[in-house]
Formats: sequence, structure tokens, C-alpha cells
Amino acid sequence: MHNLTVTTALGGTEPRIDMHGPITLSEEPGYALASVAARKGGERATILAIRRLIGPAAPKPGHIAGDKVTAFWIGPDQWMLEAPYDSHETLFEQAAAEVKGKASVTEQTGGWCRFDLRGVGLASVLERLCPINMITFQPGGVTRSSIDHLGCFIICRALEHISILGPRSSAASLHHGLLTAMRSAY
Amino acid sequence: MATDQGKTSNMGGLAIMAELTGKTIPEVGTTIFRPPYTPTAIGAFAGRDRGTDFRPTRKTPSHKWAEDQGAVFVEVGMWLRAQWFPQAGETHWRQSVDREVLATRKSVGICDVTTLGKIDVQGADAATFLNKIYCNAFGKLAIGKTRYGLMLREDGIAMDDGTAARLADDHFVVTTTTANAVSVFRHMEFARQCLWPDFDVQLISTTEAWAQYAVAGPNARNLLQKIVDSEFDLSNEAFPFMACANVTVCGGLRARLFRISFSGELAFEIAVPTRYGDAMIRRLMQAGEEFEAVAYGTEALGVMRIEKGHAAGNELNGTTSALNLGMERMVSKKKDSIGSTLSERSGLNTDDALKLIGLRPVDVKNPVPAGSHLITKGDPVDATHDQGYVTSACYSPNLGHSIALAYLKSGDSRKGEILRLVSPLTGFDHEVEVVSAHFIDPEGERLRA
Amino acid sequence: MIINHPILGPRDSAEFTYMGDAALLDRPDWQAKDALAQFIDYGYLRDNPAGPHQELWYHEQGDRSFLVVTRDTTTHEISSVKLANDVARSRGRST
Repeated sequence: MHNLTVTTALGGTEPRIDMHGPITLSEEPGYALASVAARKGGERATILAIRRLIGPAAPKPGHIAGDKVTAFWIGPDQWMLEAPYDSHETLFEQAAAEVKGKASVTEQTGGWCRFDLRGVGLASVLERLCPINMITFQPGGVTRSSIDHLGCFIICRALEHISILGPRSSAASLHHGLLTAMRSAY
Repeated sequence: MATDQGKTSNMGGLAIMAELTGKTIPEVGTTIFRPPYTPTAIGAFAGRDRGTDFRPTRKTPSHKWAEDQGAVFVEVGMWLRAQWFPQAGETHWRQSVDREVLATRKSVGICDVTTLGKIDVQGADAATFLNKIYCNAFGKLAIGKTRYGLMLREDGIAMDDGTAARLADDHFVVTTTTANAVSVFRHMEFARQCLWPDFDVQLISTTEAWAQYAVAGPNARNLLQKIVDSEFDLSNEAFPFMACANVTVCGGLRARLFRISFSGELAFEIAVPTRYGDAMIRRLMQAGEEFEAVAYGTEALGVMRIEKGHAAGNELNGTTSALNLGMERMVSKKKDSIGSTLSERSGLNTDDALKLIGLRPVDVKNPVPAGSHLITKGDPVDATHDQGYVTSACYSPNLGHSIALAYLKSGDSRKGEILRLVSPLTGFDHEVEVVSAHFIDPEGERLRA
Repeated sequence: MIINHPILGPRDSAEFTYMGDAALLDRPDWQAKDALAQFIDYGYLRDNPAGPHQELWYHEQGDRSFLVVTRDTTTHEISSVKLANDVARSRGRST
């Protein structure tokens, strides 16, 4: 085994946690990501492979499904898989073995940073950040939108738990934007 | 429109119109005003989008390491890149850059190239798709090989360049320049969805998923052999120029290795998952201690590519074709690619078309500043007699004088000619000699070593 | 402006990048006898209608779909939104 140390998207060795008002903002480096895009004619096989990987049926547009391994829709015939890093560091290999050439799989772990917002009253924070309808945005919902010019995935995991996945290189800018919105809201 | 949005200049205009038409000013009336109707502080528009909040900042995973080394950073798009790494006693940037260049060409240098755009191209039609995107051919590129690709806009003008590495029959990794990563991805999505909707090809950006480092110089292989796990043979026979492979490093970490060279030296680029980027650069520098390895920044990178005669953004400047770049033979006539038909327009193919050449000053003490224009000796200095212009310039520490890349009318047949270099803006007016754009190792022996 | 995305429903136009006239889908055949003339028309000539206009919008901050949006240039009213992929196929771009 190699002994290279990892750094988080914010550049630290430990994930950063910030609390303000009723909201906790945490950096979440502990997840592996892999994208899965169906090949021509492989659309059905890809949907079935995703079900084998996550348990429930492959999610429809705007949704996330699964428990330990989850998938969310990112584009036509395209999904992102997410799973705990420690147990699924090579999630892309597991996915590739399951789709058997019917889909293109790409490792995406390093491409994204993840920040989780937990607490009561997340709508007041999100409404300051992006044009999504927080009344209709319910647990299991996923949308991609722009936060401070950054294309982000916004995932509603529970009423009081939202994840934001943004481009890793801009983690500090995104973190600053989220914290500013928290301070503005509360 | 200035700060008053035309509200004061407009009144003068209305008064003149009244006089010309024999009407009173109220009779002439006003134009339709546009907001703001009353003076408004600029800060009210900016809101909190000020300073570094104006737009996001992009940092590579080894940013903190570069800060630790005292790097001076430069903005490239939204990225912050290390421009040079000043050492104790260096008081001028040229001292740092010259040292980085000389040390790299003498032994080995390491440069963070994470910011290059990376696009994963997969699917049964991946090679067919790249044949449409690049003007040169990719169908027969062998697995485990990398090829330089030139991408044209549909109007025949060069759009971007980079490499495509074939990892499998149906899997390529395309690199773009840092500045054009977003626009190239957009262009490829347009081609995929709008032009060839039934190609089996899938695209996804992996720019941020990998931390990538160039290791360049005669000791590049010796250094990397200490990093890449021993079961991978890096010898010239097993891993020649333009090879690529999935490897492991430091005892089992997955990585990608490309034998490509921007500097003109024996060089590799090694990519590891982003979270290991910081650890990787520290490990590379540590492994390089016995070779006196240096970290080099974008300035040294620029000097070395000019010395080698490699085109970059200054040459692919949105007005230049494959012919101007001296790459016209790359535009395959045997296949359809974006831009191939319009690159045959007569206007782009005149007998005196600009050609990329090198310049050296006749008096070696003189600089050859970018933006200067070239005039045939004895001709007047005016636009009609303009023969071309300097695109990239630097001081070459290897040659001991300034050098430049320039576009010159019929430039490829004018080697040896002495021209007048003129820059009315800065006052430069002296003689330069037209030479090959390949100042260093024109036969390419170093990068194949 | 709100664009009614065929898959995702109403989306803020700020998520999109405008990519010009949908005539860009009709790329000429490079082997046609008059290919050069056709490509010059394709590259440089655009209609400029006062009224309904078919144009490309790229959902760059969304699902990366190219859309063909029919927008009235005099009122900004959007009468139709389709996936460019489907439009391209219906125009015979499958070969």
C-alpha cells in the first residue's frame, strides 16, 4: 500500500466544520464518485446495472436513490454514483464491472468537493444562493444550478440535510459563499 | 456611454438637432432613456460581487505547497498558477525564471499542469468523433499512444490544441489548453448533440479529477523511476515518446503516465487522483533532490516552449489558420472534420500568407518585444508595408539573448533575411534576423531520448 | 426569462448559454460539389427575423443538453422548446 497522505478540497488534513445560527456547514471528503453514461443501445442495460448497484430503481431526472451506494441523475441517460470512500475508493471499477461495456464509466471522485448543510431553516440559506424553488424541493430531490457562478449539484437528503457538490478547485470560493449566505440568513 | 449614460452629451445633440431643423429643443424631444434614470453608485450594482468575490478562484491541489515555496502566482482564467519560485537572493523575476529554465534543461524540473482541461471521451464511435473534432486523423492511433491534435473552428481558424491519449479502443483522454477548457467542452457537446446525434460517444470533464505534473529534463526518467512502481518499465524501448499508460505510483496508487513534452526535453506528465496532488508534488520534489530538481512556473514553461517553437495561445489567437501555424499538412483531406472545408478558402491561402517563424536580434543586446511589427528594410513604416508581427517573446537563458516567435508574410521562405522590427508604442526600432522557430534541439533528439 | 426544459421543466435562463441560430444544425455535406459555397453560407449567412426564431440554448449550468428554442424576437415569447438531439435526428443528421 502506498503511504501518500490526502488533503481535503479546502487544503486541510481534516475536514472543516463551521456552525452559525441553527446551521452546521461541514466539508465532506469521505465519498467516492463515478459517472455512468449509457452507450447507444445500452440505455436499458444501464438502468438495470444501476439498480444492481444501488438497490432501488435508477432515479428519474431531478432525483437521487439508494442507501449506501446512491445514484443521482445528471443528464439524459447519465447518472452520478456516490458511495463512502473508505469502502468504495474504486467505485468506478465496481460500476464498470456491473455495466459490462453498456455504459461509459468515469472516476469523478477528485472532480467535486462536497459540503453538507444541516439544521432547521435551510431554505433561508439556499434561497440566497440559487434559483431553486425550496417549497417543491423535497428529500430525494437533486438539481444542478449555479451558486456564485459555480455549477453545483444540490441534493436534498432530508428536510434538514442538504448536500452541495461543487467543482473541487473552487472549494474555498464555494465555502465562502455558503458561509456568507448562512451569516446573511441568521 | 460614460458614467452619465449619455444624459449630458445627449442634451448637446438635441440642441444641435433643434438648430438644424429650426425647432425648439422641447419640440425635438428626447431619445428613449435607459436606466439608471438617476445617478446610482456603482457599488449598488456590484453588491457583494467585489474584490475576490467577483468570481470564483480556482486552485490546484498543490496550491498550498506552492505557497510554502514562496511562489508568485498569476491568474490564468480563474486559476491561480505559480508563475515562478523566487529563491533567497533573487531580487528580479528574470533571475528566478532563468534559473528554473537552465536547471530543467540541465537536469530536471517539475511543473504543476493540473489546470489543463481534460475531457474523457468514451464510446464505440470515440475515434470517429475525434476525427470530426480534430483536423488531423485519430482513427489509427494505437492503444497506449498519445497524439497532438489541432482543433479548428468551422471557419477554418485554429481553435485550440492539445493531446489525445488512447487508453482503450473506445476510450480517449483529451487535453485542452487551460484557457479554452470550457469552450472546447461546449464545442464538443455541440458536435455530439447537434451535428452527429447518433454517434455512440460520451463526454465528461475530468479536469478537476486529476492532479497532473510535468517532469521534464534529461533526468526526468531517473526521477520518475523512483516514483512509478517498479513493475512498469519506463525505458525508451518500453515507453517511447508519446506513449501513455495506466500505472501505479508510490506502492500502489493508481496514476496515469503520458510521455509528452512541451519544453522540448525528455518529459513525462504524471496524473494522480486530486486528493493526492499535494502529497505527489512533495514526493516528486523529494525524489528529485539527488538530481537538484527545481520547481518551475508558467514563466519558465513559456520560455521553454518558445525556445522549442511550440505554438500556444499567443499563436492560436483567433485569427490564425493551420497554414499560418505551419501545420497545413495536418489538415486531412481524406476525411470531414470541423473547419476542414473552410480552411480551403482562398483568403486563407494567399501566396503571401503569414507563416510562423523565429526571430533573433541582430544586436544581441536588443529585446524582441511581443506586439512589435515587422517591416522590410527600406520600406516606410505604415500598415500597407506591414510584413507581420511578433506573438511571443522572451529572453533565452540557453542562447544568451532574446528570441521571439512571429507571423511573417511568406515567412517560411525568408530565413536569413534581416527585417526592421518596429514598435511605435514603445519606441523600439532595430534589426532582427528571420530564423527557424525551433531554437533548441530542432531535430527533437532530446524528447526522444 | 424562463425556459421550459423538456426534461427538467421551467429553468432560469441564467443557467443557459446562448449558442445562436439553430440553422447551425444544418451542417453541409463536405463531399457536395459546391461544398465550399455551402459552408460559407452555413458559416456566415443568418436570417434576422422579426418574429419567431429558432435558436440554440445550451444548459451549461444544468444537464448539458442543447435545446432548440423557438422565441419571438419582438416579444421574447417562447412557443416551443425541444432537445436539439431530437431536432437534429428529425432533420436527418443521423447519417
